[in-house]
Amino acid sequence: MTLNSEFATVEVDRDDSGNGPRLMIRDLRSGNCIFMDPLELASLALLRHEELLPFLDPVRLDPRFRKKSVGA
Amino acid sequence: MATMINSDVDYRHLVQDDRVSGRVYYDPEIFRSELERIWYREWVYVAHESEVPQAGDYVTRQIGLQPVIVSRDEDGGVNLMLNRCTHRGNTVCQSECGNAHAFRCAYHGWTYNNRGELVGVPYAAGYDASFNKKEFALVKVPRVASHRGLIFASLSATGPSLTDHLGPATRLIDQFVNLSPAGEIILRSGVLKHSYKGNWKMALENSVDGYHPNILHHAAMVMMMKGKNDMESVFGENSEARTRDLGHGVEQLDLNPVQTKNGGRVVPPGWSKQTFDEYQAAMVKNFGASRAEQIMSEGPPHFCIFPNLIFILNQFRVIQPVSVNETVISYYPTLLKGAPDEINQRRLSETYLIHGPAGRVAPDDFEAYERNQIGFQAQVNEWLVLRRGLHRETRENGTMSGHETDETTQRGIWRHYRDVMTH
Repeated sequence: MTLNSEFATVEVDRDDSGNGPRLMIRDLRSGNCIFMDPLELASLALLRHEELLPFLDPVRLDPRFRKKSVGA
Repeated sequence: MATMINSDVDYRHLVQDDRVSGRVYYDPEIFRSELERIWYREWVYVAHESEVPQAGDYVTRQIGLQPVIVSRDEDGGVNLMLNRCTHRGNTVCQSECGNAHAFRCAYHGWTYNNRGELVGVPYAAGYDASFNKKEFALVKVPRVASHRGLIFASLSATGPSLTDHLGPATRLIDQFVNLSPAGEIILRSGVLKHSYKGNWKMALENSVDGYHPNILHHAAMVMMMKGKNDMESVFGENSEARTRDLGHGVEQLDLNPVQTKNGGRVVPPGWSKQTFDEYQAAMVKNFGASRAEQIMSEGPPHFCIFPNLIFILNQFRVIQPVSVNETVISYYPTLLKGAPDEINQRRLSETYLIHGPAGRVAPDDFEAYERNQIGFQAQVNEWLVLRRGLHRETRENGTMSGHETDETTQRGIWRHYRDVMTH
């Protein structure tokens, strides 16, 4: 499933390649990808959106700062 | 295009009680003054709360020529901010609508939350210690207020309250919204937009002109007559409907006498009896039998609120000036919360059947507005005549009232315009 806005385009999918289910989120502009387990997602659901704002710095999308996806 | 530019404009000469000069429609200097004195000072309709129902929802609009964002924050509040990055002035939001908890300027990446606070600046070390992000929030529109979900804004920090501004329009808005069994209307069904090469005031005046329908919209009227609707009794010389200048630039084509006699007009006729019974039961449950009957027999009011909001049939029409000779009109179908689907489907279809690109009515109006603007180039006679019915209008309950075909409503618009422009 792809979600698109004027600010970002991401692909979201269920991943069953590990020993338990995960949610895969891939930023289609930078290629960055993260797999999140149910506990991480449950914790995300506790957040207010403003707590995510520190992660929105566009410099994080710069290839020099791009992290390697783990578990892909 | 005529270019009579003079900053010392005599509005009392240009706008008289029974005529107006064509110059108020084509002079770019007057248009600039209108932006300052009307669009950037008066209350202007911006959006409806139902257009941003969920946290993170936003729509982009304009107040005059100034771009704004209307957003719903995480706590349910509605925020109105100028759509202008405080860094280099770019618009931070381009889409007409979307869902985002943060707006990031595409130019240098300055990022704002949907309350407008600056929350991110790339390579922040380039700014010294005196740089305070709190000082660079998106600029809030100074005054925002709503009535029954209709959001109005004023770019002036001072002035009359929205309640004072709406005055008699409050009752008419209530009449429009109370057609919903739940007392709420919903604007979530898209919008029809038309642009035309003409002045914005033509659309406002025309919206409450009861003289033109049987003439300009002849083809549509013939079609409706075939459907057994006697349009001569609605818009003709023998109509019992009235034009009303309610003051404050609120002008009404009062069709109540006709609609009530014809058994009301919630939507175009033709719904099933089962649907009508269901709707009526919901209305009675919410309002009681007698009040429900009154609301349904009156139907939706036909009126305008200066400078940019018009209620006709089941739609909002919103006027957006672009320049002295270019305007965009948006038609928003409104749905009645709590009404049967069939009724809302008919309200929706009425919008595109009447106001769509090949609709029965709207294309006629746009042709008339553009012919107006061309005709104004002939300046041998500068005047537009507004004297129809001046001799027979009366004062009823403190407001001026005229025959359905009289220009009482246009005269009301121009009186208010003159007040605002000379204030």
